[in-house]
Amino acid sequence: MEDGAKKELPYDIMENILSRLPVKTLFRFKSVCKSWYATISDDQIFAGVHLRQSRNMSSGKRDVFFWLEKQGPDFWPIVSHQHQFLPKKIESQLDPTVLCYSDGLALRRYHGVDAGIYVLCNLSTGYRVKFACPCPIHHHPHQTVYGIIYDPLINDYKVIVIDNNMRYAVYQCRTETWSALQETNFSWGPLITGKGVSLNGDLYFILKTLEEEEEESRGRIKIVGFDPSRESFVRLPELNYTTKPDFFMFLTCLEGCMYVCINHSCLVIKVVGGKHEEKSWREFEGFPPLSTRRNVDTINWYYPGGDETELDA
Amino acid sequence: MAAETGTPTTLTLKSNDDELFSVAESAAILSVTIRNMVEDGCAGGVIPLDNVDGKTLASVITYMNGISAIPADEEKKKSYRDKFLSDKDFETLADMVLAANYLNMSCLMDAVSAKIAQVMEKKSVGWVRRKFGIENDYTPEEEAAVKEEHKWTFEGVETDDDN
Repeated sequence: MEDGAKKELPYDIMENILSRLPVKTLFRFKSVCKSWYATISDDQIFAGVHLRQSRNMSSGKRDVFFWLEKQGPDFWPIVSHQHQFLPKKIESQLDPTVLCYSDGLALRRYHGVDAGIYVLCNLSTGYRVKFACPCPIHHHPHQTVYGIIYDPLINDYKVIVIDNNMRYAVYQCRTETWSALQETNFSWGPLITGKGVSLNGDLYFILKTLEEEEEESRGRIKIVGFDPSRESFVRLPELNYTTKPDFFMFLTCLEGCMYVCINHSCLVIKVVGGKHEEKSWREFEGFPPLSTRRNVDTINWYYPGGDETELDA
Repeated sequence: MAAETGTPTTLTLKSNDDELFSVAESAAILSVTIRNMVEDGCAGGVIPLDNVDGKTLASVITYMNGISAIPADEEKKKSYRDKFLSDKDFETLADMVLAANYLNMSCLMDAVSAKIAQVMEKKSVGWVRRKFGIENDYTPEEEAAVKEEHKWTFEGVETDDDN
């Protein structure tokens, strides 16, 4: 059998190449040899390299998807293709919900009394950092909203937490510092929900306004952007939609597009251009690609005992 | 156009198999290695590149000329790089990544590394071992255990009979 010339590459070049591979391929290549196993499993070095580069190619194109699976009396978080991403011992201390996800990082938190302690987990390596939020911010499971976003100016990831009083705090992962608690200054009396979705370097949140002048007493749905470097919110163009908004709505990002889904009918999408003012919406009929994944991303709405049948609608 | 104020400086590069190449200095200094030689005044005669063979150097020079002819437009440069690499096979890419590393050309290095990663993405473990000359140092039991640990990652892998 013709084998072609084999090419032995120096370690640093090989590591650079490996760090560009998706998680699934990396895990498979752990079985190439022992030194590859060690490299791919090395939390400190490799995780950092991998994250930095996965950011460039992710933007929703290579997302990992989560869902909860009932195991006995408990629900366990599952990452795509049945891969469980933390050892059971740690899992049992954490809330099964993935609070938010970006570039291979998932934000979780502890159960109960430790609910103000977060864990940021690198899904490709299992590397995790633990940090507490000192701010007097509320941690209500349905009313606190989270997002992870990369800030290129300081080469760091930021975790943003918004509470039900519309105050927010920003955590810088590398320097391990929290910003002061700030007011969002949303003037439209919004009800923010779901989790932040990152796309092309910005973070987006979905919210329902409670403006009194609205004819539709149930409010209107809006999307706000968050600029990671300026740490400020930007309101995006109005959505045009015909579906009557009910409480159920979510935002997700797949294959480079943003999807706004309301009552399981998917609506208006796509962020165009690099600047907020240039962004526009495109109507979309039907479901986002891979509609099972759409469900996966929404399943964090459903807690143990929640109504799961709705997911199959 | 303005009148000629002098011919552009041309450098002569020599591969490790003694092929000579002429290339405009403005294009060649994309290589930090070459730029340093020029700045140090060591580029007067022929510049020997002992780690690059003629075939690879010809390719790298094509890239240097192509990319330096594109004005500062990152989109266009990227699409040039994509096109330039699209028809290269694995062996050529591996030679190029070594050359780009030696010549210290970060833009080519990044592009070729990304392309190699793309080629590898759906390849089998056996393919990787063969192509990179890596010896399997697992015992059969150890290998089975590692594979079992990440069983799902072996779905959708290409068969090995391609290059």
